[in-house]
Amino acid sequence: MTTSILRSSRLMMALAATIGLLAIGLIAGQGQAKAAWSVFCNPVNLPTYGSYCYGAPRTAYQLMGWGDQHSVCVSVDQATRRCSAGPGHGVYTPTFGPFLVNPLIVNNAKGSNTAHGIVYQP
Amino acid sequence: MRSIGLASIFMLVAIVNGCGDSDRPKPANTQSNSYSTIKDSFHLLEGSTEVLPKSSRSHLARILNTGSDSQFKPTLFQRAITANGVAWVFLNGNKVCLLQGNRGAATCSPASHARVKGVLLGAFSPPSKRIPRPHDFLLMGLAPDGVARVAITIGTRRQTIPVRNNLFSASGDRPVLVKQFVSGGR
Repeated sequence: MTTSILRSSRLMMALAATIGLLAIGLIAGQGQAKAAWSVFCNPVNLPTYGSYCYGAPRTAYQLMGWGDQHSVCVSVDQATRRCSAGPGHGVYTPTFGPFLVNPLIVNNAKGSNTAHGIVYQP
Repeated sequence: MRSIGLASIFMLVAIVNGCGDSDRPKPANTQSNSYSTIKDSFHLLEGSTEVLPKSSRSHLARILNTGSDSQFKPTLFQRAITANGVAWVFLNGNKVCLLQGNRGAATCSPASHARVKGVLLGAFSPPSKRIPRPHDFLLMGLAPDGVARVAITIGTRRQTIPVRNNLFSASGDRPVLVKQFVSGGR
């Protein structure tokens, strides 16, 4: 009887330890998802206001862009366009993906603009 | 019994048709109704309207592509202080807009979109000789009433930040991204 209780309590301890290790592994693994950067339209000359450049479609967590001479806008959908303050200022889409997107960057001022786009992706 | 069933179906159709009608064309005299509908979702907009400095107004007109200053007629300007600087919230037509006071970035979302997903804006510093990668990230967001906190990631680190007066912000040296809204407030 005593042997049986000891055996079952050891089993319970082993089970608890296994679950604990699994939980630690899961917690440690959270947020460690691999992410990488890729570029699109970087650099590209956008000659006039409203001229734009699409990158190849890909899965993304986020788009970011900036212009060397003027403001640019980046967009992942038709509803919302986010625009930088001016030259040397970057703007990004702040909703965590992943989502499938044709990354878009638009010249947001009169005059030629050297634009740069980056995708943060899985 | 059948008449009760039919009545229920009519009520259901009426309710469904009533939802999400904000994007339908409306007569001009319903603008005040439209304002009150938007105000119902963002209590921040209920405050007395503030005056945007002229330089900021010109900047906004330029980056929001509204043509000349005179054609730019934003309304319900509200200035608010967040943990990471000043935010300006306003309406531009039927869009809810957010301007990062310190960085100057701006965005507008259709009201129907903003009432559900808020208005989110990120700014960063591009790669430089000293720091050859995007850095100095700043997130600002306007969340609809009822959102108490926002789950975000800074790089791979997760955290939750509070929403105060419909606004939230966070900064970091890695991308600051919104994961989800957490309800619980007004």
